[in-house]
Amino acid sequence: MYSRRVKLVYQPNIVGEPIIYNLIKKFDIEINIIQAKISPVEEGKLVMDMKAEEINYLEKGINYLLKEGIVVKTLDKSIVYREEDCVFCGACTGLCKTGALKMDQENWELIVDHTSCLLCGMCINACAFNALSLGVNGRDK
Amino acid sequence: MSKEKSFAEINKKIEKGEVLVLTAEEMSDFVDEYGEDTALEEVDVVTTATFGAMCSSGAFLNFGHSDPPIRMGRVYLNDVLAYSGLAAVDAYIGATEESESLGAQYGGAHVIEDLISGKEVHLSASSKGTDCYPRKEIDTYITLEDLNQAYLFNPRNCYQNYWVAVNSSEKIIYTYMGPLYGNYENASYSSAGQLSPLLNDPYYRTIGIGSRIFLGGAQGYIAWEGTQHNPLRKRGENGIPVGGAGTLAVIGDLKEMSKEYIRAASVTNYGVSMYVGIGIPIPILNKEMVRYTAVRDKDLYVTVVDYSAGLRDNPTLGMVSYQELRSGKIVLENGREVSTAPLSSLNKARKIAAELKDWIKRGEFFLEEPVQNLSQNRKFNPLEIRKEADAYV
Repeated sequence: MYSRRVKLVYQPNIVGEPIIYNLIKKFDIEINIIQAKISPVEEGKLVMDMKAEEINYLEKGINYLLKEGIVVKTLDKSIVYREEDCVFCGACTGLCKTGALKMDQENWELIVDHTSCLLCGMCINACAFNALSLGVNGRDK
Repeated sequence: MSKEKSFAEINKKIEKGEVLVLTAEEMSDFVDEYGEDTALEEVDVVTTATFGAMCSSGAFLNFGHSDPPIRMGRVYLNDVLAYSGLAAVDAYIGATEESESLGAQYGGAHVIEDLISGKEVHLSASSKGTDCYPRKEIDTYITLEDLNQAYLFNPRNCYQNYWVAVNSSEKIIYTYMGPLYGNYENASYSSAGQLSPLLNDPYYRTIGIGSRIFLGGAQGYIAWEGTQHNPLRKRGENGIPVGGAGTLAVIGDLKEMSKEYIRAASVTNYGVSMYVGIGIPIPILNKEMVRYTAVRDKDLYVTVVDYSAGLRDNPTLGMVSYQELRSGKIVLENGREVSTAPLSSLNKARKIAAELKDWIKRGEFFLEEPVQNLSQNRKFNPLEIRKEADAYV
């Protein structure tokens, strides 16, 4: 599988367009929506993961989005967690608004859920031990 | 009448391998299950621990003499200034001193951590030169092994309770309690709660000067009351302070410490600090100590402080329990619901309490009765800004 995390920005006039349906149906792309802010009168914003068997499915899907006038930004970075540097204090969890970083309530270790991370980077500021950083991950194959 | 125990009796049990040691968390469960009388009868020692940021830390080092020798004036270790207004080759490296070239990315705490890890550290020093110490410059490398003495001597560690930090202003602020979003969006706290040493001995009955402790992975000692020791801080009905109160000055051999329990920290837009792991055994001498060590997070309260004002006495927003803090959400006096995050590591504190327990069970660690108790009435003075007094008129 090839995957890509993207952020879409589009104008209210295409909110009526079934773009997600088309990506799935016509381009065989698996979609996982992470954050969505859509309204009929304002600019829409969507952060999602796109997954496909072939890399060109993803490329074709993105070309379709661009043709529809949607701004597509690839989020090719991810938070890198080095457990060996972590002291399990939990400072980062207070700054994480999406719940991507949580403390395990049993053993008080850090749980990192990359799928709900929006790459705001605040956890990097919160970590006093350089256990968190921004890295390029790209594809997971 | 319940029977009392002495330090000597407990040490005899340690020697014979008959001692019953529980961590402070296990003690709470034990007392709930078997009652106070049985706990006094059976439990000999309760181990407590904490692992958190302790800025007031540092180490005394003796470098040995070069040939020809130097009376070191300004001393730099990996470009971090060490205080050397002492004898020729003695210095004190303070944890929060920042690197001349790297700033808050690297500081005294990092030098200490590097030494503990066995890394080579760059030493450079200058001197005015004297007849007996003619050398004026030195540039060399040292390791922990090369040093004659290297001992941690931390003037203020192991705070008895602390504060919860929030920010009422519009914008984010960066504090020693970590970054705080505006509008009370997050709260940070820093205590091991029911596992924390001085919260299990609120009136310093057994923890005092001379007590043997776990310090950074080695056996160390309480050397004195800590700076800003404030036993008169407001206490709850259970006698436990509801804000930063008692503190400890601790000492121990750096050569025996481990990076697992001493860690350098760079706090964003604040500076360098050091996370120190401390464990303190509490002898269960009498019923009073049973009660104190059975304390739980739900009974431990702490004051919420608004850090946005930047004052000596910042505004407060009521009290919350450590149980509420651990749940991830608290409700402030003003009705605001705030998400919480710890700054000290409960995970590591538990490891320390368990390791200290093992040491005692294996007969490798004996309890030391304090040679002097910590002050119960030391006044915590502020610094007033004033003109020179007319003392000599």
